[in-house]
Amino acid sequence: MPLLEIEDFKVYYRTSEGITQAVDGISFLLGEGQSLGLVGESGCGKTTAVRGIIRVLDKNAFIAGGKVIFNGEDIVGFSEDRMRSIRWKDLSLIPQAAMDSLNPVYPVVDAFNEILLLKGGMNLNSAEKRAKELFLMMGLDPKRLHHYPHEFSGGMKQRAVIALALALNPKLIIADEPVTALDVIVQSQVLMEFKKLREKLKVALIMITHDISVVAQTCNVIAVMYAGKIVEKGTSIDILKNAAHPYTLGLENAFPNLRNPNKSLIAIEGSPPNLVNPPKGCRFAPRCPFKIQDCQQKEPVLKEVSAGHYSACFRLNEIEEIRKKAREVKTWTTVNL
Amino acid sequence: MNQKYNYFILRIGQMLLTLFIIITILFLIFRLMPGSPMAAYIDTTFTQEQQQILMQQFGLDKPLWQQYLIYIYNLFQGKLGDSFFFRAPVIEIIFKVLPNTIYLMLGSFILAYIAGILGGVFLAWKRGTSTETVGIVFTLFTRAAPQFWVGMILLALFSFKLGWFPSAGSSPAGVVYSSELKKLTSLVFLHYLFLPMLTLAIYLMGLPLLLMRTNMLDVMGEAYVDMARMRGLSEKRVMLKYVARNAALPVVTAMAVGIGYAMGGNVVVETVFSWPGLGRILVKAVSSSDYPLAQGAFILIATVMVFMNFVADILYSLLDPRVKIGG
Amino acid sequence: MTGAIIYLFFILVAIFGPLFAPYDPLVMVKENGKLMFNQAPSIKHLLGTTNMGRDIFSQLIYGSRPALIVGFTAAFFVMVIGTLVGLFAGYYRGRLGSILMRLTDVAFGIPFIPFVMVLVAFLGPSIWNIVLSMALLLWRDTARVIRSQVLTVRERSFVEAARVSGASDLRIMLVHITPNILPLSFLYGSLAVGWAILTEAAISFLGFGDPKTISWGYMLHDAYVSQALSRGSFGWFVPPGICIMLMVMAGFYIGRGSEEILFPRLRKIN
Repeated sequence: MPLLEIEDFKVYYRTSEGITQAVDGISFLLGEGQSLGLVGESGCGKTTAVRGIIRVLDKNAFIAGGKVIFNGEDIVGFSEDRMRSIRWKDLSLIPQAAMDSLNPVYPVVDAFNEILLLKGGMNLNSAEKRAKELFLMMGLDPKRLHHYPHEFSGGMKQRAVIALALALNPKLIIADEPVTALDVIVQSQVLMEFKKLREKLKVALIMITHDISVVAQTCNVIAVMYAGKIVEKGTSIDILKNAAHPYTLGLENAFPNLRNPNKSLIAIEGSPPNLVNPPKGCRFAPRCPFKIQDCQQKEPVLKEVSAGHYSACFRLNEIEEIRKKAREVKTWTTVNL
Repeated sequence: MNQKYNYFILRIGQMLLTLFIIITILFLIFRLMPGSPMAAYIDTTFTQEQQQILMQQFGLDKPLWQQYLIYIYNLFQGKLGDSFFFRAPVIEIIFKVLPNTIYLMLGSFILAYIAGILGGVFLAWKRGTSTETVGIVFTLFTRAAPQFWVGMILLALFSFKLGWFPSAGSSPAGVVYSSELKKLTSLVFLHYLFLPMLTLAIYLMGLPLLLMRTNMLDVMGEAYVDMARMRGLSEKRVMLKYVARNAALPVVTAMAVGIGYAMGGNVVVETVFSWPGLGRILVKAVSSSDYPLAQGAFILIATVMVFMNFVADILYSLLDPRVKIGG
Repeated sequence: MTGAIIYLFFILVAIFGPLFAPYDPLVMVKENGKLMFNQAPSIKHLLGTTNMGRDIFSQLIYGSRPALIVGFTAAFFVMVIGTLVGLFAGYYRGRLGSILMRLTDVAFGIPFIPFVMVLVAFLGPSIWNIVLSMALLLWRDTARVIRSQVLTVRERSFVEAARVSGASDLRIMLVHITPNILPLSFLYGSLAVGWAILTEAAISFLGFGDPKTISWGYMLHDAYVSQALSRGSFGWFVPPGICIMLMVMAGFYIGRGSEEILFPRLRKIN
């Protein structure tokens, strides 16, 4: 039985202009110890989706439908009290800007004590031991526990927050852009930590990023999101080697490739659609170089490309052609927006 | 910790320097005002002999810079001259009434800050409702209305009309207390203290209230508050330990600013309620041209104020681990 | 904006009010040879009369003049002095800056009302002496805030660019920095109108006001010493206070002063 099963999950926002369908029916599975990379550009709904899972949403956001089956139970129906009890214990979320996630007027150890005593049933002694253990695990000097957050560097704060996320041995950690704000060296250190964690502790991981190279290192499964929908999902190898959706192909073009350093970087023209009134048909169609008549009339559903590899595109039968064309610059610069 | 110590010493130094400059300015004002320089210390009703003694004591026949030095020297010894009106040493008089002013100030401060902080939390909680709008307008009223006028209304209503509170002074005539503590805890004294304290508090309350509200709103949007919720901490804990605790810090700094307002307010409020404090003495002294007393009262008021500012500063640097030296 | 409306109202009252005021505020009204003192509010005397038989309502109208004069004049000085001090203190960070900061600190250390009181008592109770005395200290808040602002602005890249291209200090301050601090200046100027009116009221109330000018503060003083409180003549001492309050609130609202009041920023951490 999968650890997490999301089924047609929808999270909408009430705004002055209407209802924004930020997350509009996404589905995926995650097994124990697996790691999923949730990829997509800013505003595609990744953050909203995961915050919807843990249900810490803005006042004007609400879950509009779908199921989130965690450990066999649909947590969408949980009361706030029950959600509160599973937060951090069974699943934790490391938000973006984790740098500022600690209470500035207390030393870092306080956050650990607080959670370990209140939810972990420990006393001060065992809490202290555990905190030290966690710090060491993340490569931090335990003496620093008694320092204040502002005395930590960015990378250290990130690692401290990850350590905190592990405090109660959750089965699932969701990390929202955990390394985006870090320099490359620290970035790879932190990613190494994540890898070790998964291997040692069998913690399942959902990592959000807009950087495809980061997921390549850390995740075994990838889901690509666009405009509130999942457009492609599959194993990392599938997605990275045999991408089967124009958007994914476009994304890959935008990132430099070590094996082909002279390849020119190609941007996807245009910008994501307004989700208050999403366009009819495929949401990527306006920016897609491969669109056909059907694309703007009907919405494509996820179809199997190969075992475990799905893509939502009408032209899957021509995927080889499309992959070839996608590598050429002029395909993308001559898009009829 | 060493840093904190140095900051402490630095602030004491600054405080003393400021006081020194104020004393000097005062000296110049009283010496250079219209009338003979001697009028500052010598009442025309004094006998020739007395006048001579005072002239010697304060060096009134010597050049200005020498007078200044004598002035400072005398000041350190607590020799501020004798009050024309009371025929007693100024220093005695001002220290006798000082406690009353302190009680009034501290009482109203504490009341104002508690009410202000609670009010700020309340208004932040009621964000976006009509309660908030009404609350804010009402708070602005308290900042815009002259303190003495508020006092007058309270006096007219609750003292003269309804008779619930006494209308003047700090105690009924002839009452003597066996000790300061007895006085502070006696219901009679508190009965007299209430209206003036309330008046001053109403005015002072505005700043901490609005400041606390602003800070609460700011802090509520901070990442660490979000993260606290993410950890499944109870809303109460989040509000208190994460929001309020962080929001309250600048409110303490506000005390330094608030004290400035309070000291001015003291003067008028004491006058309205005939509260026998430093402010009222100052007014009396100035109106009756009792220069030594006026000077003494002024110096003491300034000293208390500067000292209070200093205390608020130090308190703030102790509470916020992020404060670097200099502020 | 509410503030502007209130100001406009009072300005109109100040200019045209006296034409419509039923009585001269200083005249002791007699009727049938009897002095009409301490009359309750009636058709003839909308707010009643003082203990010397003067019409309160007329006094209220006339009182708007000194309020506006004091308010705007003092505010003008406060704005100018405060902005200049803040500008120089923030721009010249060396000796000049330190000296100006020390000066501001000292200004903060002097208790305001006692100072104005003493000065006015010595210089004489005229309305201009009151304005002068206020101007000597009231610039302090403005200076401090402007200085903070200047410190931020001077780090902006366009200032750096100007300096690098050889612009003189004066030019930089005038052309580049000043436009960025003027809004704050005006804001504090409008707040200062309120502070000045409150201070004048307090000084008059304490008995050091200008006896030739009937200001609202003076009315309150008059009421107090004539035992209006114990007599319950609310019509005498409530309206002047309300007028003062409205004027000050107008100052809060105007120039988005409400933002500084509602969202006061004190010490900046880091």
